[in-house]
Amino acid sequence: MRSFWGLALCLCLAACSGPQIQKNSSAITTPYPFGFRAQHQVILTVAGREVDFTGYLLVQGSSWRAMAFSEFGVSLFDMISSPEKGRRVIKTSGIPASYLSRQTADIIEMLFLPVNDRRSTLAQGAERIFCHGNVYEVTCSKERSFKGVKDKVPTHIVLENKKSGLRLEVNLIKFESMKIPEQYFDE
Amino acid sequence: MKKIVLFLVAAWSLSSMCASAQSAARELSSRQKEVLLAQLGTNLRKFTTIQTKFTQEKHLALFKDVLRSEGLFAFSAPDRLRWEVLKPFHSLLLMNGRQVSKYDYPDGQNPRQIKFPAADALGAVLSQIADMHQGKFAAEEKNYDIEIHQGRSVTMILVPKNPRMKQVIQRIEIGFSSELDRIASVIIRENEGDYTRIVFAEDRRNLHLPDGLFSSP
Repeated sequence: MRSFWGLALCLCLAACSGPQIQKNSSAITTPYPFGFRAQHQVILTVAGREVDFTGYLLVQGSSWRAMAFSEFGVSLFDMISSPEKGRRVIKTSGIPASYLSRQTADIIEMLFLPVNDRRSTLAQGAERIFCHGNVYEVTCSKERSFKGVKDKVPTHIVLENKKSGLRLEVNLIKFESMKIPEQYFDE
Repeated sequence: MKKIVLFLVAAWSLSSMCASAQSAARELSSRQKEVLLAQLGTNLRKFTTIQTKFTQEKHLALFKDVLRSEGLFAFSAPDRLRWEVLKPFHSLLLMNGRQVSKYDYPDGQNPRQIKFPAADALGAVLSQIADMHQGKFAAEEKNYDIEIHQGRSVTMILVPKNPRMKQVIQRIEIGFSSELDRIASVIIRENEGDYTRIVFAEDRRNLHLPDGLFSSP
């Protein structure tokens, strides 16, 4: 019984002294417009090994499509998510589809869509995000204005999952606010 | 009105000319192919170094969008190669013998080596590029079915033999200069109509290229 109260006290202290965690609701804020397309240079580090590629992202509301290309333009993966059909991997050249449709899709939604993850603010504008049992730290910087977008958009994003050794560095190359036709999410 | 009609006639004539030039390209017989490959090999082997600019365009058929990049390519026979992307971001790929290394420039100036896992696979691709620039086509016949199409220019079509590779890359088209002495363009065609076109320009050949060009920056 004593240990229970001890644990409860610890949890209370942690809750009071730690970063404030908020369950985001519909009032979630995102600098991104409702519809846009973006091109990124991405460097992914997993267990000390790095892979760089060009990312291409289309977003319209809660539907999105993400593609990745190697240095010579060859497709690495293509996947879609829409409320009607969920997450689907259209093409992959070697990357397991399950990895793409879980972790990779989680990360894309975390970074670019107004999703309902638990988030807490850390020092220097960084955020801690809790998603499907994983904890990520995200730092956005080098914000820039783009035509037709109310808020400034970060051009440099670093995401880390310290436990798994995953690190993602995303540099924005091209950004365009636009309506993405529905058929692009319908394959 | 007259101007519009003239413009439409000119545009139609031009498109007809392009269409007929394309349809005029014919696949060479195996004997003709053999002769042409030998000629290409002889011509390409005259140049032991190449330094050229390139532009790369990734055409996304479905989205009617093009992702552009440009940079510098350097090659020194038999096995040293530099592929440097300068726009829209800076990255560097080096092959020096069997060693392959890759760098990016996070602050725009200082290189950072990327510890990439698939060095062997990338090394194989770069070796193929090196072989092509030296006219070593026979070496590639184990990886590709090779066709030669000749019209106003000569195009080599490489169709992957490996079924896994074929799932990703439908074919690679290598366009040669009219003098048949250099690679002018490369098109990598994927399934579903997407393709990447790499065009080489302003090449300088048989220059002395410093060793530093192919070693860690």
